[in-house]
Amino acid sequence: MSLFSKENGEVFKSPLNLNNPVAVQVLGICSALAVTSQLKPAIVMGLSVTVITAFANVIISLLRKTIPNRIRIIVQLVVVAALVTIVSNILKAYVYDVSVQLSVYVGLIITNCILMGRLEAFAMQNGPWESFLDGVGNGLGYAFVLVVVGFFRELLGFGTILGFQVVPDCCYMENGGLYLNNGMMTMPAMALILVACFIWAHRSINKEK
Amino acid sequence: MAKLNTNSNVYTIVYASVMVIIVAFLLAFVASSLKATQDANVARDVKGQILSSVNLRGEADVDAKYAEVITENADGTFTANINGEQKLIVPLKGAGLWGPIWGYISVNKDGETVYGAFFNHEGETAGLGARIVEEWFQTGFNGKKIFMGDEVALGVYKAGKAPSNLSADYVVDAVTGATLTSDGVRNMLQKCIAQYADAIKAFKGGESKSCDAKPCCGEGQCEMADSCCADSCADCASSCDECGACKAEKECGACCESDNTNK
Repeated sequence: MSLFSKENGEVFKSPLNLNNPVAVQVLGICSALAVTSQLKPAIVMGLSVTVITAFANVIISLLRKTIPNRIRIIVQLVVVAALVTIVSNILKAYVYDVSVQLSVYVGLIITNCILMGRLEAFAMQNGPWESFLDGVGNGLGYAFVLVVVGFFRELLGFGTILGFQVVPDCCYMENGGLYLNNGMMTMPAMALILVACFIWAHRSINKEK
Repeated sequence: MAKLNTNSNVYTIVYASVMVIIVAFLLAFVASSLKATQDANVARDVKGQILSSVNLRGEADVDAKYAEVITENADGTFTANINGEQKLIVPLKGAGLWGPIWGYISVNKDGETVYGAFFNHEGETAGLGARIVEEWFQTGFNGKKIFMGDEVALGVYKAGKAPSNLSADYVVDAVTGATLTSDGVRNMLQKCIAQYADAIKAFKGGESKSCDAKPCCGEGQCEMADSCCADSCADCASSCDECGACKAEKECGACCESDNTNK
């Protein structure tokens, strides 16, 4: 079987759309609320989860035939925790700024349901390469939703994109205009509503499937 | 070769032990080999934070600038020398909504006006409480006043929610949507600055302010008693401090009397 066969392409592509971990399986919602009030932490979080899901998937897939069935969840947890600790150490040593910005969220990747879900559902049954593709696909599918939600929350809540002002200053109430930032958007609850809107849009587009 | 029974108790226990030992060694190795780099990063970051509190943000060479500008004092404060003017930097530590917050605030030589401020946090909500690290919030402190009488009046308040006896000089706008973090910043300011109030008074160089308020004998001089004029306001204050006897007998001039009443 070639590395880029049709099946493998499907493994990679399906979590991006039809089997999106957030929009379809509704996993990883907690972190989607926490880090999406602005775009930048959402992007960094999405990438970190992608990297860690991919490597944890590969490691578990390599070990899958040796793992004792009764402690498999513990083994998965140890692998994820070790990876997250190593990644967080490396970030601290070489890109200190980024690690400060992510603060506790790097540690919280351990608790992301998508990770454990992919390890248990996919990596335990499939080879390392397929698992790697599956990890990257799921990570990116998760990142995509985070970025969409983060984009709208930052735009409507702060009038900025990645920290750059996009709503002209003169439009604001305090400068005589008619526009006011929507403070609700900065609250975690609005992330839920936006995720729900995203799922709604996603389902109506893919109705026939 | 017989196939291993991966479900036996012995296998499970051995597997778990080996895995834990390998992971422990791996993590210990990673942590110890990266520790020196991490510590250097942390130390440089702290220096950068202290420099930020005197409005030197984003310096390219933090270590060099820090060595040039900042002197560490024995009581935990820092003295900064900015273009020949001295600023006192007071460290702040407090509690935000989710975890610790901290910062540094620098005071002008008058012991009253904020020169600059820096805040940081461990885990405040991204986009809400976490915005206290942003420059627009911190520069909002520049030029604000700290003390009203002997009380620390400087605080962070939601627009329209500040106590009515506080003028705009003492009020900094809170971060929208981050009431609890903003309250934490206010409590931290009031608690920590009060702890260093004596250091700030000492930094002020005696009571040069009350000297300023009095008419001086001559240009740059200060009235001490009917017959005595000090060469400068700073001299006046320090000599007042030294002559305890004349304070008691109220022989010193107006500036020393006001110094007495302050104490």
